[in-house]
Amino acid sequence: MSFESFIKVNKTISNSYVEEWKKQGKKIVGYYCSYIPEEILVSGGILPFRMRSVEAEGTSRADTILSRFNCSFVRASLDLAMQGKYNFLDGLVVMNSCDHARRMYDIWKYKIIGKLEGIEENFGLFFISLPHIITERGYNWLLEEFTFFKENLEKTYNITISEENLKTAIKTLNENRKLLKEIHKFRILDKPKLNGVEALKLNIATTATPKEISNQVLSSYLQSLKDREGISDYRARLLITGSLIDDPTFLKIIEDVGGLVVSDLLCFGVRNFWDLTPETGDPLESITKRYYEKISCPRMMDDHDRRFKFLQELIKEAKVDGVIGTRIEFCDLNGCECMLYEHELEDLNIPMLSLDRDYFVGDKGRFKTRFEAFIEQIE
Amino acid sequence: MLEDSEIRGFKIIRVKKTPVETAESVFEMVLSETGINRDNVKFVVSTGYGRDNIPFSNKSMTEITCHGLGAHFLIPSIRTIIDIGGQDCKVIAVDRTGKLVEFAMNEKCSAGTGRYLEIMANLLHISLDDLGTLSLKSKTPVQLKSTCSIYAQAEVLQCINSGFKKSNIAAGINKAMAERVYSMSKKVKMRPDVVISGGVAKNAGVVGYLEEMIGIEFLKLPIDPQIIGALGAAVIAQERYKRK
Repeated sequence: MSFESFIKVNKTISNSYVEEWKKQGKKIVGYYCSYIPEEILVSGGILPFRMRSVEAEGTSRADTILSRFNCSFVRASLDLAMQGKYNFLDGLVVMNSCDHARRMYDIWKYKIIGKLEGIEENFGLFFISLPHIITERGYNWLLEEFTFFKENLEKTYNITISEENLKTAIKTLNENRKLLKEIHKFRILDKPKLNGVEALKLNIATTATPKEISNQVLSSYLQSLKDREGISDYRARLLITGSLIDDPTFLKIIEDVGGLVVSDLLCFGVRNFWDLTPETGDPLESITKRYYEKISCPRMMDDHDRRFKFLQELIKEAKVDGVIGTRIEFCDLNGCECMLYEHELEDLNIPMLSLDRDYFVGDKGRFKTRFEAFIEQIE
Repeated sequence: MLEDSEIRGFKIIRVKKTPVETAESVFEMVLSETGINRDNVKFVVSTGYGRDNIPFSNKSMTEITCHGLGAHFLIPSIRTIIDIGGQDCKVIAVDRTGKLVEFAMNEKCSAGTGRYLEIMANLLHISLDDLGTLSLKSKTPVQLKSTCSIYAQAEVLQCINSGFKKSNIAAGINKAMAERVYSMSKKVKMRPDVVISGGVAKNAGVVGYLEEMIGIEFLKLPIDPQIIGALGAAVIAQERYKRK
């Protein structure tokens, strides 16, 4: 598979890899959050597919079910499902990661499955409950949830997931993460070899394609990076954090005015590949440990200090001049997190720009003005 | 248009079909009014929406940075500029050299912008100017609870239908407007001296409430508050030319 088709994956919901996978008669299961254990799906021969909203043009269909007071990303993804864009899925895993995404469980159960052409009654719907605090009790809880999830997958799709399968899947996924981390190293150079838009496109593609293919493409891409000319005509080195970004449009506005996004703290980015799953010991325990203890999403309580420390490390390694934090309207998790970062970064004399936004980037001009002014402030 | 530290000319016009047309004609007007030859203009900086595509401009800069430098040029002690235009509201903090330190700008919504006042003045069948003067007569402004300008319209209509005095409604509108700007202004560390620029600076009601809420009396700008951004752009142009 070529790099050209891989880098284009971000533009659409379905893609050529998904079509090929379906042609082979294999299953695809969607998931909403970076806390869903992809290893378990992969070990069952299932393609994990992270839910995105990229092709949505509005939310008029979804608004008949959800209100304007729900997150526009989640509404847009539901709108796409109602248009049949997610008909290639054989199942969906939902988690209580945030209240808006969590409600997709009920909506799919009562309004989509069996009601919508293409999503039949035998569609698999799964729920995983993730504790909000990181404790030993919580770990045991999550291990039980992951074990139950594995058994549920086996029953639903009539498959068997062996310990060996799990161990192989762990290796495949770690390989993917290691490659993304290696690529990240080229992004933080003084003359970065790739910009933020390209990095995001790669990260998105890994959530919507088979891991083996993704590993092949990424490793040859990594080789090609070495001979590339570095980028030096930028005005400021920026890091982006906050609510989910599954579409390069937003980063493109920043980079078009001369800000180079050299790092990020996003679940379609650094937060998704940074931590590896231990390759020794009981595989389910290792998987639980990885997801429970990885660099957390702001939905995890009492873990802000660790996140802020990590953010500082990212800032330091990438020589970041300024941080941009965005929150999608009604995203309480990232709203609070950005506010805390603002105060903490101020003490460290690192400029931060906080922005509210909709999932849909409509008023590009006003965003552009703010990004440009932020860069002028830094320069 | 700036020569040394003297403002040689300025012109405010309504926007034309495209930013390029607007820029061309305003430039022409200033040239003919001042009698300055085009070739003698050494450096041009464009600012505001459409700033990137002006053919005769040597550089573009955001209006946020320009407002800071423009205000600083007039009153060097300025540290905060509150700019309220038709669709945007910005609070800009600058250092002692006029350089941008931080800023806040309203999000997508029209609450807290001049557009909000226009909608409300229409509803009351009064002019924008009257909205300011009427408001000063009120001792008991009505309370508007909705942030959204659309919902607030319904509230204002209800006030009209219940027979509240126009002055009290006008004051309520100005107060609600000041509250939006005030809450936004808190995102920026506000230090004196403070000036207010943009069209809404001409509404005494909003300005009065805002001064009361912030607890600082604003300085008066010695020139039309609508040209501060352009002045800032001219300041940058001068600086860039000297550097060349």
